[in-house]
Amino acid sequence: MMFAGIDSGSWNTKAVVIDADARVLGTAVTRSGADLSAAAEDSYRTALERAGCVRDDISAVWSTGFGRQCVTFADGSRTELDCHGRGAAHYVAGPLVVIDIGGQDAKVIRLDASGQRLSHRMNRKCAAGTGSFLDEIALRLGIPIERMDALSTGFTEELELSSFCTVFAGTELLTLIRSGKRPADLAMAAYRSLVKRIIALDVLQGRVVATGGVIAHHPTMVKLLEHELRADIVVPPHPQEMGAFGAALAARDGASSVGPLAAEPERGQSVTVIGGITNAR
Amino acid sequence: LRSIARASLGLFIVRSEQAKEDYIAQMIDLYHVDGVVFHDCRTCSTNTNTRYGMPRRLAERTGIPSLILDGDVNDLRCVSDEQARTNVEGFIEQLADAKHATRSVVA
Repeated sequence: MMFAGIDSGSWNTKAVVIDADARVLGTAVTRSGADLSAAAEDSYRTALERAGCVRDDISAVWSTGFGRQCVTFADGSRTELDCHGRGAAHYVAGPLVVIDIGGQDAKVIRLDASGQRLSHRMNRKCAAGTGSFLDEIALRLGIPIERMDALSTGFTEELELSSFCTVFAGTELLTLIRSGKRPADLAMAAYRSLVKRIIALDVLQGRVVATGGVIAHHPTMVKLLEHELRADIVVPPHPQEMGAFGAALAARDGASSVGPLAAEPERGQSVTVIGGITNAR
Repeated sequence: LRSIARASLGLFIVRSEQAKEDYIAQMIDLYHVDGVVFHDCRTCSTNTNTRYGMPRRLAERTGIPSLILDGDVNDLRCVSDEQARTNVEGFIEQLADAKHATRSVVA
């Protein structure tokens, strides 16, 4: 028996194929782009190939992530809050605090000793404290994002970005570049700024597990988080695919599928009549 | 005048943190509430009860979990439908799982 999970994220779509013992057989990470369904198909196909199996071998496939409803072939879905917690709890015994840093959102999930969710906290609408902040900084530094972590390890001067707002930090960075600061120090300052934002999300005490693409590709983030929290942070296997892995576990365990919530009227549909003037918003 | 004063001073949003907490705890008990949703209203701190640890204190006091939704009373720039949807859906999953776990233990 094999199961699969698809995590349709804002930046990347991840797919994981597992067996009945939750061993990972194949994974894939593809760009989500503008067509989430196509990205899910693509990612799923690659993960199946790597697992050496075909669609008919899969007993159930569940979706998660912000595009979870666009995964048309999914048998069920759970939120990424559930899946990241579920995945982390599979590797690390609770009680736990899971920090997930994705491309467009960051979240803190608290789990009890049995892996049940106690609470969660997500970032606001603003992209501060997420991977897109690092993308913007890399762009300003004129380096590919993949090189940012290696670059930052050569830092010599402790600089501070006073803002974690992506837009303000970008302009602040320009000032620092103009004053001749080194790119390595600026990259490190960006990581520090991101960490500051993350630790402000919630109280982070006890055993902390970190997941998500930012954690997977920026080991410096883990070191800085450990320094700030004065505690060891556990990075489980395949942190970037943790949501998809959690969705595969949900498929295996037959969790109840909650979504989608009843459709609400679109904003444009609401029409109010004020003093005889039709005010269509 | 006395009744205006009483009405004004008795309004929920002008009460102290402690009075608000006691009131919500009372309502949780009265209506057998499963979960509390707090609205963090970006531009109105008086209408927001999440910034001084009330959700945490209430959870410790009553054992009832809560969710904080970020939003606003008039500025749509502070509102994100997609994140609110995921937050609410995630909270329902959490409550459903907790109920299921309790039932399993009872059974």
